[in-house]
Parts: sequence; structure tokens; C-alpha cells
Amino acid sequence: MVKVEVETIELKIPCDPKYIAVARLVAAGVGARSGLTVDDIDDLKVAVSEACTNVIDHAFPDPEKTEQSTAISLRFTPREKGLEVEIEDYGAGFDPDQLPELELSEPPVNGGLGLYLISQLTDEVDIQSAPDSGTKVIMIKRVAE
Amino acid sequence: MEMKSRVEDDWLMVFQLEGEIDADTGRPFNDALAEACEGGQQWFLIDLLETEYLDSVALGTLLGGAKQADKLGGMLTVACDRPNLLKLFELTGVKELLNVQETASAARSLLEQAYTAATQSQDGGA
Repeated sequence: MVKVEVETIELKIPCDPKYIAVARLVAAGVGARSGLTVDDIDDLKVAVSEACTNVIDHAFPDPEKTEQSTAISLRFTPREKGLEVEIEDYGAGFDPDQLPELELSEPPVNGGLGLYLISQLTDEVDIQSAPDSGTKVIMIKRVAE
Repeated sequence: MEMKSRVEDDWLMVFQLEGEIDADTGRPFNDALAEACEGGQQWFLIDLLETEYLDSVALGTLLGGAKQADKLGGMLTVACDRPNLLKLFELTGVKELLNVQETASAARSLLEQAYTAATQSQDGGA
């Protein structure tokens, strides 16, 4: 039998809020197997959940565009000292430079905290997106030294 | 997510939320809080002692409720002692806005003080 090395654990969920909990469960499971502490796993669950919520809320503003895939792809790759999570959608995309600065003296009531929380709760975040080209959020949570 | 709500002593609305509150499960709470605010309710105790997870949507709902209660001259308090949720309140700078207390009795007593002060000032002004 040929042994297949699996480095990346992949999950594809529908763009539907009821599957966000599934993404959180997988994040917690893979996080635990990557050596993250319970507190780090809590942080990762929030970050993954917020990224999925952002896709659901913003990636498909035009429901008429049915040719787009509305799935959310999640890839979890254990790294030497932590876990890398990539969350990709194939939706509208945006210009990351145009994201409004969050002013915490006036916390937003109607959304806007998601990306801020992701950046605060993970060690590295990279957002790759462009209008009509989908979005990829790559985050790294490191194992505490 | 399980939600229980009740009005205590004819003035205080208590919500008890259990489990995970996210974009999927948070809608009943969001709607119920908004409806109560629209109906003029201005005193709220949100009991998150059995809440395991809270997302930014629910955080926005709490903030909206707190601001509305404040505008009406009332108050919203949150009872929460879970480190993962307290961390979110601190990171987003909303701990004071939500009047977060670590026990339901502390949250209730904060509300009672504010309620007494508000009703006394109303009586005094009448």
C-alpha cells in the first residue's frame, strides 16, 4: 500500500452560518493536535469563525451571480511551531487597502470587529484579495514558547 | 444556543444565554433584545455565565442594546466570568460600556443602584 503523507487538512463548507460551528470544531481539533494550548485554541476558534462570518456577510453581495462558487475552503497546515489556517472564498473580493481603520473609542454596533479580532488573536495575518477575485485570509497561531 | 428571558420585579429584563452564540444561533437573542428596546425596556441583565462562545455579531448586539438602554436613561449589564469571553470584551474595549461583572448578583446590584438613583431623581423632579 502506498503511504500518503497528509500535511494539510482541508474542509469545504457551504456559505451558510449554520456551518460556522463545524469550522470551529475542526479548528479546535487540529489546533489541539498541533500543540496549541486551550487558550490559544479559544483564540483560533474566534479567528476562524470571524473569517467565515466575513465571507458569509460580504463575499456574495449579488445573489444573481450564480456562476460563482459559494463554498468556503479552509486549509489547516501544522507548521513547526504552530498552525497555519487559510480561509478562501471565490466571491466579490475587495481592495484590502480600502478597509476602514477601526476606531475602538467608538466600537461598531453593526459589524466591523471581525478582522480586528483576527489580527489580535493570531500571530500573523495576511489578506489576499482583489475586486472580483475572491479573498484568501491566511493566519498563523504559534505554539507558546 | 439556549435563551431564557424574563422580567423581574416589573422593571428588569433578564436574558440567560447558554452555549455558543454566533452568526447562526445569535439571531433569536438579537431580535429579542431589539424588540425589548423598541418596546421601551431600558434595564437589562445579560447572563453569560453559561455562554461558551460569543462572536463579534453578538458583541455588536450587546453594544447596540447597551447604547439604546443608555439613551433611554437605563442600563445594560453583563454577567460573565469566562476568560475567553472576558478577553474579547477587553480586546474590543467594550468591558466598561457593557458594565461587565463576574457574577449575576454583582450585575444585579449595579442595576439596582442605577435604577434606584433614576427613580429617585424622577420622583424628585415630579
